[in-house]
Amino acid sequence: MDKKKNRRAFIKSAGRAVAGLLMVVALPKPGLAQRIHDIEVGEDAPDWLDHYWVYLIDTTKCIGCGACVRADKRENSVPPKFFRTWVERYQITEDNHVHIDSPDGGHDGFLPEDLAQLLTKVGQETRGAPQGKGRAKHQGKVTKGFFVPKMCNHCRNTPCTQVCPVNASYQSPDGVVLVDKTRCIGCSYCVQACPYGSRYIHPEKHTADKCTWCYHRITKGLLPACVTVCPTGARKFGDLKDQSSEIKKLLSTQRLNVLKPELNTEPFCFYIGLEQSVR
Amino acid sequence: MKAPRHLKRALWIIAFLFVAGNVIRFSVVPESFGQYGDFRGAHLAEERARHPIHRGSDICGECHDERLEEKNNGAHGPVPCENCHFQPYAGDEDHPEAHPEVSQSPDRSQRACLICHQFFPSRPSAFPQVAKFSEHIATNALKLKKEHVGAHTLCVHCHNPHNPKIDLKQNG
Ligand code: SF4
Ligand code: SF4
Repeated sequence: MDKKKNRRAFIKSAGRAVAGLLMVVALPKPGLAQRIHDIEVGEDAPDWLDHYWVYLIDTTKCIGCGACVRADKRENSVPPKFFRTWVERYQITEDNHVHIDSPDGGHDGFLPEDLAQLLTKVGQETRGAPQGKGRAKHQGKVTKGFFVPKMCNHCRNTPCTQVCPVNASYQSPDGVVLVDKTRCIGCSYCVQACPYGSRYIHPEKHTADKCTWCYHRITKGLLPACVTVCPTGARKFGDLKDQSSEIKKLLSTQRLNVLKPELNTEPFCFYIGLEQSVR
Repeated sequence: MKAPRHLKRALWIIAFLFVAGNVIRFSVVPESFGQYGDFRGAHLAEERARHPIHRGSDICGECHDERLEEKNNGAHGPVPCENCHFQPYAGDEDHPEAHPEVSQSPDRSQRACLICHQFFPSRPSAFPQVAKFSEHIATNALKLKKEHVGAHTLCVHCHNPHNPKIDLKQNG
């Protein structure tokens, strides 16, 4: 009798302890702001470890010109039909339908196909007609519209590196998610793991490829190609460890959001003016 | 005292596994693996070694300084040269060959302009946009250069792409 009681008491208290532990574990993760400010990297590392990079996209400024997509293709020799960055157009009509399109990733802008062809003919000296198909068809007045440039979010808690069986995908100490092509075996687990569709398997190299935030540029003091060419300043890039940087100021004064925050991937690509219909 | 046979055999197996394991490990795991984390550390430097292509407008200004100043003072100031002049200037001290062999003549079609300036409901309303080219011509261009108005009118006939704003009062 006594023994049984003891056991019951033990199970009860053990249950409480486990529940308590679980609660500690399940405590909410630090908020966006805190995550931005508490980054540390060891001291005696090469100078590229003295940075922690962050990207900021102001959707209220983007005009959907596609200059960023074109620049990215040139800078990184991205094969046709694949994208490291692309621009999506959102059109919300009176009947509350959300029409999303991204003809050829926004590579040739968003001109209606017939108009683009016509203008190309008039222009004679142009460099070829736009290829993009797949513009959203809809009737009705657009009451709300905007463009959303997208790319790899360089998540700090990223699913793509976690699934890589050979550690070819990894996060660099300065916060950039990279793919070591000499190690990648092309299994495409990471392509499936990325919830943002940021990765693809290169059709010739047969290895995973994705945006590197132009690692070869940012480590030389240049901006990523897409940021360099954006005519409206919709794309911003900077170093969180540089206290006087513009990005630091923007991040601490603007109203930010990230894509799919519910997935806890902790993206380091922040958005200003992100509408709730954006997925 | 002689060691029992089964112990000896176990020792041999352990020794073999130790040697084989290490041989495999050192031949398969790259040298710099684990230098900065769970990845091949040398890849950081490899990725960094690539040559940048887009160089921004300032490098163009080293030769074309007047053009750059004109652009920078106008409404197209924030638009880098390479956006319209296509071929990005990849040259530097080590790679001077990238320019001027490459053709730098831009696309002069209306499409090149309207890719940014065609009216879309998705564009920020403060951004200068043309809803209908014919109307734009009817309201503005007739006041300007009559000889250009026709089926083959291009934006660049009236607007200087380096400084596109036209003072209607002055010209009208
Ligand atoms: S956006 Fe996709 S590819 Fe980029 S870090 Fe996140 S999960 Fe990985
Ligand atoms: S270059 Fe800038 S404005 Fe143009 S589509 Fe890209 S983000 Fe938008």
